[in-house]
Amino acid sequence: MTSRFPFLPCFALAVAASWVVVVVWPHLQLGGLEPVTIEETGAVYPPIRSGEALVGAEIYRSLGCQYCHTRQVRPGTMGGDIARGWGKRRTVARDYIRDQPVMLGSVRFGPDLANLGCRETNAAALLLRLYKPSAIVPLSTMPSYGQLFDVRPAPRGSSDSHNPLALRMDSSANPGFEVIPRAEARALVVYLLSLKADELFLEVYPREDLQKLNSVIGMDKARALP
Amino acid sequence: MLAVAAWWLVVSVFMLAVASVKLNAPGFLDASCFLSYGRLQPAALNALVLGFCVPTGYTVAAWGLFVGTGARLPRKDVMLATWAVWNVGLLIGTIGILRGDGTGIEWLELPGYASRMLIVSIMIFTVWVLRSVWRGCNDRNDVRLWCCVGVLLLFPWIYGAGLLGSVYGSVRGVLSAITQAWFVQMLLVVWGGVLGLGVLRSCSAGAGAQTLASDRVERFAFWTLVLFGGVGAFQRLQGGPFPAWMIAVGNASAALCLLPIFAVLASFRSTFGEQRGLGKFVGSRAFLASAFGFYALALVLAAMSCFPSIGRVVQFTTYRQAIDMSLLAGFLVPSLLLAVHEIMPLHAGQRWPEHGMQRALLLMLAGGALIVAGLAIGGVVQGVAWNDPMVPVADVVRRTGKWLGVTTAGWVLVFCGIVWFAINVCMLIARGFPLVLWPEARAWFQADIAGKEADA
Ligand code: HEC
Repeated sequence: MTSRFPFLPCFALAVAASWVVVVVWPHLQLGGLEPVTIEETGAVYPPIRSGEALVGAEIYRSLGCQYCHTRQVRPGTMGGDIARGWGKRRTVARDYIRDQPVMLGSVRFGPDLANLGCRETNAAALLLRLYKPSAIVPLSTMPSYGQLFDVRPAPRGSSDSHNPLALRMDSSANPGFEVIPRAEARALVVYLLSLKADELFLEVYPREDLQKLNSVIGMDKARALP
Repeated sequence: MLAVAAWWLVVSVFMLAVASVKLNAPGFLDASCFLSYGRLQPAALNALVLGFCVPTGYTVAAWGLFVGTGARLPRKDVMLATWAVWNVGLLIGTIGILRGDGTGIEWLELPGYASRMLIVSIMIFTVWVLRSVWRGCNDRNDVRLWCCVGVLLLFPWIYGAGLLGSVYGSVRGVLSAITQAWFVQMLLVVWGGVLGLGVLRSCSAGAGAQTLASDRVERFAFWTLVLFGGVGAFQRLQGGPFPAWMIAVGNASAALCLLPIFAVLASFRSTFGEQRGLGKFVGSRAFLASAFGFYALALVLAAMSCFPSIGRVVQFTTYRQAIDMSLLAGFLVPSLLLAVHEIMPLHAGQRWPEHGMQRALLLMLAGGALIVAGLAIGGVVQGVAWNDPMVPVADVVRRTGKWLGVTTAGWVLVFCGIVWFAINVCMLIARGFPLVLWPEARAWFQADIAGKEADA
């Protein structure tokens, strides 16, 4: 056996087998997913992101937000994600078909962001969090992304900045200065606000609910028959 | 070659230590965005894997091939040129990640322009080595040599397939995450496993002991590892937006991955039994056992997280990192250092400063234990806290932070151990240890000379 054993072909076969099972098979199953049209509203889900949001996605990737934040919600039976208000439902593969690259994240040092756009609609609050996380949560371990902002002296004579873009915050932090978000920061926030995975369509219902639904429909039919 | 690898090792572990400090104190070294956690962490991991583990693993496997077959040395210039390209590519890529060019796909972050350099150079290197071995080899049936060939071939394969499936290819959505999981799993569990276990095995048995194939148990371990190890990738996707069958298959194979561990355990016991009283490298037995322990621990932790009751706690926490770091920092890096120690040729009468080496390895293992413990326990704490909606976010962060402090301490210890190791190597050089920069080249020369002598 030692001498005649065709080691290399067997080895290649074993590796290829794992590749087929892990990579090819899911590609066949999930590769053809298309956006769905939600019947009630006629909207297409997932929606196409605006250009600015796509720029924001690039910034999200380049700053590595996904190393601290996941963007995937587990079903209610698997952990407290839904109880924490991170989403109404679990996320499914279809939620991500427009993402490239997909940034699911693997560790939650901070909250899940899959549905950030649903629970946070205030762009200014998000900007402030990016500029100075400790202004919102003292001792926050989220890094501050000051490089996305310009800090410059406020126009003379005004105690408060009149620039509509300027960040409103405790002016005692740095008096006489105003903080203006750069285009990158604004794009990132547009992207963050677009993070929503809350539409309901067929595959997001838990299986028990579907069975219930089916049996209800079945009973209706049965009643309608005679 | 190895010196460059050692340099990457020192740098990357330093970066990992800094990154782990940053999880508790984001203001630390916060001068610029280059060093924010989201860039430092991926840059450091890539540097550790591609800068140290892969080149050293390649050297060890190629060394095994040349010494084992007695093949003539290939021309070194091509080999050195490919490795130069590799290292330059990695340097460019690491800077690229710090500048924000990372691909955003974990473990495959090197930006496209850099990873192309890497993949091309490693392919040329592999073909080169295999070609010259093929020419010079007369006995093509020793399975242990084939394992070396496997190690050489597997990495370009999985790296290429991983890059194609997630970075270069325009795949949509979660598919790239699946390919990525496969790559990481193959890299850490299968490639690292075969390589590291091979090293540990040959170190514990001593040169010239039975080959891998002579032992049924080991053959079993090898094949189950290759088969189930890769499929276990699904297990990394637990809790994610994937169909249920994937998770189920992943869980099953993660559990089946325990089979090879038992098998290896059995064979290790017997070799340890034989080896008793042989007075090899002092303390190496405990060292081997604990490095292997980290590997087993990682697979056991992975298998444990398959239970839904445990999985719902530890998913998306630092527990996953504990598994990966156990494989990487606890198992692969020490085994590779041990291999370097074994193959570094010494002059007659010259000896490794055993005492210093022992301390260095001890520090590394202690550090590895702290890292894994901090991440694993921290992961459980983190998961329990996240799962309780009544615990405010700030509290979750605070509770996890304590354990991350343990991990940081671990990284610092590992860093000290590695520096100690490096100092020992430098001391050897200072004592007039020639050619230390290319130890494997030297070893090949020796094999060459030995071959010629045998011919004559
Ligand atoms: C070092 C890890 C880390 C990184 C990197 C990181 N964050 Fe955070 N983030 C946290 C932590 C911890 C919290 C929770 C504590 C807090 O609120 O400050 C948080 C909270 C948040 C929140 C509030 C979530 C909510 O539910 O209210 C948002 C939004 C956010 N981060 C966005 C980002 C963005 C965008 C990036 C990338 C530019 C990023 N984070 C990078 C750790 C991180």
